Amino acid sequence: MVFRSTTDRIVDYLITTLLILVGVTALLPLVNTLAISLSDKAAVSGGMVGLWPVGFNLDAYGFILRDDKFWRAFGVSVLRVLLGGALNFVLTVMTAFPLSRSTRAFPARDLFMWLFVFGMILNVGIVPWYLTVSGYGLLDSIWALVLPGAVPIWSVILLMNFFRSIPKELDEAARIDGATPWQLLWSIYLPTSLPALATITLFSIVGHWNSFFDGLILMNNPDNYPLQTYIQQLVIADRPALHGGQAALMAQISNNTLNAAKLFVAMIPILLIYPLLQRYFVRGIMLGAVKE
Amino acid sequence: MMKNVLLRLTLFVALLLSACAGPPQATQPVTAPADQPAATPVPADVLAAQPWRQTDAYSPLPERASLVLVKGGQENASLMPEGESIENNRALQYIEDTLNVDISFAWVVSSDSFTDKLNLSIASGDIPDVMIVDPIQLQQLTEADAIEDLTGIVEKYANADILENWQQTGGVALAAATIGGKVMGIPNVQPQADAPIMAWVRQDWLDKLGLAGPETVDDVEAIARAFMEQDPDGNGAADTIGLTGTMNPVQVPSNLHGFDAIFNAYGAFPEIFFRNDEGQIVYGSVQPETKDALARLAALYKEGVIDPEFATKDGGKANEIIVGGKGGIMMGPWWVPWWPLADSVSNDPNADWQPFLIKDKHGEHTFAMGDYTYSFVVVKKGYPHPEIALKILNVQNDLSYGLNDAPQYYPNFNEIWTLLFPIPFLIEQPYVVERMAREYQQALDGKLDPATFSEAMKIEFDQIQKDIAAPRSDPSNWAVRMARLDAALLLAGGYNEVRTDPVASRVIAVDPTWPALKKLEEEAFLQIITGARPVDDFDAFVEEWNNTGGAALLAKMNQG
Amino acid sequence: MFKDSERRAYYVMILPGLALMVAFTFVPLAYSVIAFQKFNPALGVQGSPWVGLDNILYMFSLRDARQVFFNTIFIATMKMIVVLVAAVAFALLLNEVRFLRIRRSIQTMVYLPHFLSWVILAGILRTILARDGLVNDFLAIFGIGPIYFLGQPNIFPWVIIFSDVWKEFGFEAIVYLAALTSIDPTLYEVAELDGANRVQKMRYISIPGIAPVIVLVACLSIGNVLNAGFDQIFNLYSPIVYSTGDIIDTYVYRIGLIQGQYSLGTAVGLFKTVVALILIGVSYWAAGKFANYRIF
Repeated sequence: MVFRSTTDRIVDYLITTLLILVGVTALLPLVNTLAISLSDKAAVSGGMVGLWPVGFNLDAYGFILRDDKFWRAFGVSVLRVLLGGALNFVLTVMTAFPLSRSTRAFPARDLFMWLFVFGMILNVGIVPWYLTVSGYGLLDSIWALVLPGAVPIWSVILLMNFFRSIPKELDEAARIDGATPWQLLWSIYLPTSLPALATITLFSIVGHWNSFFDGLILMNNPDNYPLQTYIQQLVIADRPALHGGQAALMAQISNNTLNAAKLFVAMIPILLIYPLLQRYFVRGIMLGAVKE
Repeated sequence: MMKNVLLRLTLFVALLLSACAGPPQATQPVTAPADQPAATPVPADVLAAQPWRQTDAYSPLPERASLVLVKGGQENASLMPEGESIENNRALQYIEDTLNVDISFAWVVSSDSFTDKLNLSIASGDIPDVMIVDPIQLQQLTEADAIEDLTGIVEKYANADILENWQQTGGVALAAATIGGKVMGIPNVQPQADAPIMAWVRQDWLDKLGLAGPETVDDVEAIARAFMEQDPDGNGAADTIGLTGTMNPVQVPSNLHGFDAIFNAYGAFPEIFFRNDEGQIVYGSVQPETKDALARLAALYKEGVIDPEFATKDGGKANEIIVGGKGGIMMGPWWVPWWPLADSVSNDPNADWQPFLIKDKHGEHTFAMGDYTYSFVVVKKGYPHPEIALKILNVQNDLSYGLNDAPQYYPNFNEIWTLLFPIPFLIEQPYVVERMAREYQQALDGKLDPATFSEAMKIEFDQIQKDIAAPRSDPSNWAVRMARLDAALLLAGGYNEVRTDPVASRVIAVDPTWPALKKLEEEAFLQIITGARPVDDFDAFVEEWNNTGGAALLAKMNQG
Repeated sequence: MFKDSERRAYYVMILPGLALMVAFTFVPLAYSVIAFQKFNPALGVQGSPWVGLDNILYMFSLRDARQVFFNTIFIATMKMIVVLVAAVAFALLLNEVRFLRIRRSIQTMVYLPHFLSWVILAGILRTILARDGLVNDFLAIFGIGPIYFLGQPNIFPWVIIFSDVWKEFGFEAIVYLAALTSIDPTLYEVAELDGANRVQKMRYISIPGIAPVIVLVACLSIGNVLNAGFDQIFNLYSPIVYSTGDIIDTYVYRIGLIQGQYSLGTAVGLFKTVVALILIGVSYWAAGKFANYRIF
């Protein structure tokens, strides 16, 4: 017994060490980016920066603080998250509630359910989608970023399943008292569904914050780019951010440090809400994937 | 997509130079500070009373009309003078007042996004009133019946200078704009100097290592190796890149960091359709000489002489090597001193970049030349005043040449003209670069009076003289001298041209297989150079190219 | 009991969502008819000439189209397999970790990349995969490389697959961890009494315990074999790796929107849609049959 548990403990330590290594490795690329953003130009261009800044300085962050375009894009993203998140919330609730009712209460429920599921799995391709959105005259408007995805059907299904799991007794009692469906939703279902509502809200916040492609093709004016699109254009498409007139600045920071700093600043909102994300996303996964 | 980026840049610079390429003219009174001569505008009422203002080419619209355009170049907006912008500046104002038109922009984006954005606009069916397009777009828009037929308008409203510049292409320019007997667009004329790619090498490094400038591909290789191995920057680290490159190893014309000159030195002319000795049109990319050049490039890559990561870099990334002092050789056209070399000089005033032409095996300089014309200004179908496009081009021409009493408001006009002008498009003399270089040289030799230069040329000549007096003390002066004088004089010395046949772009524009063929070629070249495929796979590429539509394409061209 | 007014209220509630879905999903579906036209934006859907199946047939004749279909399926399938294996292995090992706080910390570390966009992650990957980047520096310790991760056609798909593993394995492990916690602990106790060792417990209790979830995930993945990850590839690829890295979605974007071959792009997209619908049908059917799963 004693002998076995010693081996056991060694194996325990081995497994734990291995997994900690895995976890740390998953974070190393992020640490490297942070280190680059804090290092001086020569060290970065010499490829000398690993996990710790070389020639520590905050110049790149100072530059970002004064970069109007970055903050304008940041603002577009915030607006998009607020507007899109609110829209998603309202529409998810209003769509999920009728779908959670029985076919006796809402005879067309099954038909609508199939329509929404079909809509969810139908992905018609970028060309007709673009022609549609531009045909509505939405180009260059914030609505182009929030309306096309205004009904997140996966969230609808998730919330619908949650509504259905709420005991019917309260519901029945209120209905006998003459409550309308709006009152049921408002006074019974929403208050009891707070965790699910938090989950779907976080889904849409992360979704809106992270999307870049709609911004790229639906916004003609770069002033309307959300942050991810702005960063995509800068970092991925290699638009040199610094040139010519900014020679003095180039002496201190390079595109690499500046880009790393921008990547990091764009991560900050996600990092801030990360504890919430971890908790509620896990719950969402559970609700969605292993129902019952 | 990257192609378009470089093409746009080419256009930018090509136009940049044409901007200062005015023929010598009578001196005008100069009132600006001594180092920044700028002409005084003629009062508007005086100007309006001039008889030529009443001609077709300049007549204002009877009633103020609006014109909606689109624009690239937003990334350079910081270069605009205080208080002026792309949407609101004095040059634009002058054009609007002269022609009685209100110009606005539906959108303004960075130069790199411009082509994609314009394509998206075309897809959404919402195009601007006037825009600049390429031959394929010209064809598509014509088939779509989305643009105005400009037959008759072009010759009636173009001014004498523009007509003359078209003439100098031997009729190729207008023919390229003609589809089904109708002139559907206003053709540009590209300065021919943009095509030859030269080797730009840091003379200070050469001197330090006791080397001479390159004349052949072998020399380029030897110098690149020396730079990599012998620590020319003296930082004690073997961190110098040999030869820079980008994901566009070949691109005619004007390929920044392009290997075009190395191909040309092997008698290979990839990417262009030209007539061979038998008079047949052939495609350079599938000729046996191209295989030889690819074999050499693959060897250079394998030995690390070419930047190991060139294939995933675009011009901006490759420029970082040069600007950051990590490389001492770059291939590029005559205008690279403006971009990116001026940034290299401003980082390191010792960076003494010098141009060299590479010889082929016959000891001659032979270069692949693109079309005279590759872009067109078109007018949206139904726009009530299609002639306004030509009138604007006339006035822009005058503004940049300093002709017809047009004012010169901006001392840094050359750097910002694409931002100032509503349609950043000029119709150029094909050999203007060489001509100006000769004139500058004559003026330096005292054989020509610089007082006869146009205002724009006077500014440049002044910059050249300043740099000769104190080399590289000012990167902008240095860039003007190096591009306009040293590099342009190399070209003025003469070279052989292997010229794109004008039939080619018209056949390509209507051929649905061209994009797939292009992709096939791009992949094959990059993969062969980087060793992902053996050099002998070139033969398989040629066969596939022929089978998937290339042979048919050539047959069509040779019929036409 | 169920009044008309109540039913009306449900219709009113569902109407805005339904309208938006019709406007942004079913209207584009109607627009897909341009796959059978020589679509010309200036002429619109009404005015463009009809060409029957020309675009579809042309698509099948294109080497590029066949290649991107292959690349898509290859990358998507490998992603699923490798992510699944990594997630299951991770969940099984994490289940062995006794210290709850360490467990939580590890989870916190590995979930994070899931929440970052591919724009950010691609920016990071481009840095660490460069010649002088973190990964090549590490490999150099073992005398390997430097490897041109983003510029070698034979390596690029694996960069895509393993960077997807990095982003998703931890998060996908959540469902397996949940399944593991729901295994009855007395099973392990009984096994221990019978003298089962750690490996045997894993083999005979843990793995069978999560097998239904593995089957379910595998079934649901069938519907995704045509989605190889547009955002990820779009932000990492370049022409040199088109031969192995170009997928349907990136290809459709390039030819359909940027090169202006609208009808061809739509045809490829439509073909993908049809195949995907069939696959999703199959996946739901399989999930229902083998894992007793219903989406709603």
